[in-house]
Amino acid sequence: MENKDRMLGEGIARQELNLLFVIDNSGSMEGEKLGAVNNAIRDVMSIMPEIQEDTSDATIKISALKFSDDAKWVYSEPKTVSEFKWSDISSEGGTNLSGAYDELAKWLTKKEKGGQMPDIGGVAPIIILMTDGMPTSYDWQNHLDSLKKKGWFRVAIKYALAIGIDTQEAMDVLSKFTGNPETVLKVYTAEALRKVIKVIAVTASKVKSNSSTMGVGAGAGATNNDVARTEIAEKLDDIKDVEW
Amino acid sequence: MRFRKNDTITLNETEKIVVKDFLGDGGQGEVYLVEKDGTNYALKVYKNQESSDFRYNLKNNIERGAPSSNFLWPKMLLDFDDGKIGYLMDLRPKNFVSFVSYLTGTNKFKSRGVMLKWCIDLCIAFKKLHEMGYSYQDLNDGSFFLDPDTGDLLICDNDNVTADKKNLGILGKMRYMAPEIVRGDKNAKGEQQMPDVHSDRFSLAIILFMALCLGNPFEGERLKEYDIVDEQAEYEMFGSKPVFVYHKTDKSNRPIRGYHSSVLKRWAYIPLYVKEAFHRTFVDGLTDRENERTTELEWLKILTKYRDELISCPHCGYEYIVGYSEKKKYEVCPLCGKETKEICSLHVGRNIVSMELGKKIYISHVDKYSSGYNTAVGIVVANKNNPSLWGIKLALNSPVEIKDADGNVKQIAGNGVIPIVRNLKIKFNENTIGEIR
Repeated sequence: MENKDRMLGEGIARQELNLLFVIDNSGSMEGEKLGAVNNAIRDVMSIMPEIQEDTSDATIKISALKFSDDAKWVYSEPKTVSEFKWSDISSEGGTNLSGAYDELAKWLTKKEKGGQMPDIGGVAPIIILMTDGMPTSYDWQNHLDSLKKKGWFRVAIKYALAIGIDTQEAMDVLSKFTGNPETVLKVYTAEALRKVIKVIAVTASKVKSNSSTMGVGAGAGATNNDVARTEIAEKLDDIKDVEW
Repeated sequence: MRFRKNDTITLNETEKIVVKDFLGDGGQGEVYLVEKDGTNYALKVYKNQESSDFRYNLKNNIERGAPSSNFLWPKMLLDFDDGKIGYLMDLRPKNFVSFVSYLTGTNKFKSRGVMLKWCIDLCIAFKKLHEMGYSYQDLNDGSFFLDPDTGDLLICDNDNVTADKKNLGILGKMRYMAPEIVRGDKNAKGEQQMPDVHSDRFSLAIILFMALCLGNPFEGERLKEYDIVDEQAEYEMFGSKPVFVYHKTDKSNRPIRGYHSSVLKRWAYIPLYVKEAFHRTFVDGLTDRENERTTELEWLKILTKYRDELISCPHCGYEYIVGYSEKKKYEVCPLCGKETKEICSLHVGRNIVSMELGKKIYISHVDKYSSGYNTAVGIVVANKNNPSLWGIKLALNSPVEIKDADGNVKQIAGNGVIPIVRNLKIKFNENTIGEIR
């Protein structure tokens, strides 16, 4: 006999976990840098189904924002693991970080208010920003200040990858974004870049798609964001050509 | 990764283990497919240096053995040169899928009866675990597996099982933990209340609710109060201010229409006595942890009763209850609205089993002291030559005596068939007489 429970609802209501890639695709990213980013996102996407299958607590939704002269979302809304298909991105133009911050601020707003975040049951997002230089939009600080007014941004676990960046000035831009210099990582090679993206995206998704596990003693009271950061730090130790 | 394919681990002069594949990374440790003496096992290796208490507990559990075959239990402890430990366990058979995949709708039980069989197995397994003086301490969605066709159960992640009132530091996973554990209450001795059999029982009820209703019993309207579900929100929903979604008087946390659709649809057709058992645990049991949390034995009585009164609609196949304990019996199928079929039932002891094709009678029906809740001793079959004649095909060791309405007495062999006719009395044994009505 056919199973009639099929008609009784499709499954449990889950929280929504958003993973956002914010990718600088300005002219200077051309070549192996963007090549590594494209590769890394494909790698991440090959592992995501497993992470999604292991939890009933959250549905993972993925978005990607690329910015050069303008900032553009790869999809017009966050996509599930099975819906998200990656098309390689190529380089063009300048580094309009202000535009990217504006787009992020719009995105990190509840759906009922015109954004893309869930109206009910969303957990703190994961945001990974990757860039290789100083923004060409000089007013980025004002745009960051507006972005910081968004609750979804404040609670997010944020990482910034500084690709081949050596100036303190450029590093400061990224520290201001993450709010924590420890989550700004300097990456020197394409291979390291690929690995770092994978470690952060995969580990953070894995930890944050499950409700927190609590223990006593060390780590007690740690938030899921703390747990993710600790696990990421342990894994980054094994990767060469990364400083943090 | 600690090991690579084809690495060997030498146990002693004669025994060794060969690593065949990497199976996964579970946070706490890595799991490999290995071979020992021609048999494949899973090997779990801990990443961190575990405490001597942890090692001792694991060793002790291995020596005492699994409470039942439902537990994928550690079988052999391994000590590595660097002081880290691991253990061998059997591999999970391929017919099992994760409870997570059931919750998310990827896999379905073949029928509601099969789902209830799984729930009953779960209660039997925890009853045995608790009877051995253990508590599981970390029940969550990732601990359980199921065979969607048979309802067979497998319980994994048994590393944190300890003697009750002993603890290895784990408190559990949020959304599945008892509120006093989430809050970190002090117990009578003034120490932090750690997981034990009573918190296990609270979590077990959550797992059963999830199995039956596809939702969490504490997630409802209150979710709307939180812009973002963070640790603080979880602490309030599951620790400091939990409200059962079907609390009889406090209706502030009802499931949200259009969001908790599965719970809304499923709860409506759950028998009253099952609802009462959930209400007791999730309302009264919030505060009275020792007395108001439905025990495994109580669940077994409740869930077998539910299974006994399940019938399937002859028109659409939907499974629903006769409604013996409801305010009103079901006169039409809740799904297709067509009339409910007339059906005989076997009354034996306090049990009422609806006699439809394929329905099973279990040892627990005919022996009230037995815990054979899933050990069938009879099944309703149709006569091959005349399919309108039904009977109970027995699988008993001894004959039974039947007496029809006219008083004619007859012996039926232990493997014979009892005809299903109204007013027939069946003497299963000296103490147990049943009747078909």
